[in-house]
Amino acid sequence: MKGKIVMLVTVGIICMLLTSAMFVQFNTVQVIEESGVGAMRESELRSEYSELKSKSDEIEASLNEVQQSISEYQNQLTDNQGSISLLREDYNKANCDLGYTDVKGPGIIITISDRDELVEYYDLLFALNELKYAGAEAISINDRRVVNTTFIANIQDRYLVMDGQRITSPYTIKVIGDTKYLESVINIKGGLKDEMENNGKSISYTVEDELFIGKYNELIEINYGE
Amino acid sequence: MIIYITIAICSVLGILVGLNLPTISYSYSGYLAIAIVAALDSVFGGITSILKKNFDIKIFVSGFFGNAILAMLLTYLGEKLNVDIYLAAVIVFVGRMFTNLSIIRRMYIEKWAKKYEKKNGTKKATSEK
Repeated sequence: MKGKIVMLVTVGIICMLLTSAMFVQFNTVQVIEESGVGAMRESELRSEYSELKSKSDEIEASLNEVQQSISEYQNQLTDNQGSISLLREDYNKANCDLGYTDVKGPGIIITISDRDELVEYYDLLFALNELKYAGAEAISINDRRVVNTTFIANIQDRYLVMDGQRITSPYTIKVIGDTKYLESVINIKGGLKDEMENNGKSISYTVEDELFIGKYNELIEINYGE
Repeated sequence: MIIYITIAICSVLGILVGLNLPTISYSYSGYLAIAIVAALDSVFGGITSILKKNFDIKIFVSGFFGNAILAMLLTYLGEKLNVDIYLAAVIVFVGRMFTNLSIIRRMYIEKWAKKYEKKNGTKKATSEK
């Protein structure tokens, strides 16, 4: 009798287990079929998934590569363009500043000459200073370019030397710059004109629309500075 | 007779439990399916042995769980080997289920046939009288 009860209980538990497992499975299968992938076998899905995944990986890798090379090219391009134009600008500006280029533009031709008094080196230096103050971009005296290292010196009170070469009256100063400012520093009270005429030197000027100033022909040597 | 009532009641209980349990993930449903087939085979085997009067609870329980676990392990192995081993399990278990079912069928048919013969025999006997 006891054995029979044990048997019944065991069989009952097992039947319960079996049917509950079966219905869990039925539910699962139903859910899977409703979600759409149930029509395919797992192995099919697996192989398709791995195929698609490897394909997408490949495509992604190649996309990355292409994007990388594009960005590299772009970087190079912008770098090159930027540096080239910057370098060119710098180079041109440096040459212009140093006086190594011919310069063309609007400007003024000033002629200073001896009248009652000789023109002294400080007259020319004063003129240069005034013109630079007025924003002169290129200056030449007697067609010799005035550069950074230019000096004008009085040798033995007899002649004027500019950059090691003698210059004589009349002194023709060509200036390129804003003609309005340049004219004003000449004409202003106590300016270049007053200064020259009050000290017995003659001065005249003409305004030119198109003036040409040649480049500095010698080498500037830098031996001590770094 | 009481065994069938027990089976029926517990099956209904099992259905109710099973319907309320959460679903399992798709990758494990294959294992559960093969375990169900193995378990069904064990149950039919048990019924056959009851009818044959050589039912042993230890053999029944160990067969129920052992076959299910073995079937699941074989399915797992097959998946690792990329061979559909679970097909072998399905064939064996379903084949045995058919054998057991036919044994059960034969037994009941014989039983009923005997009863029928008995009835008819007694009727004939009375009518002959």
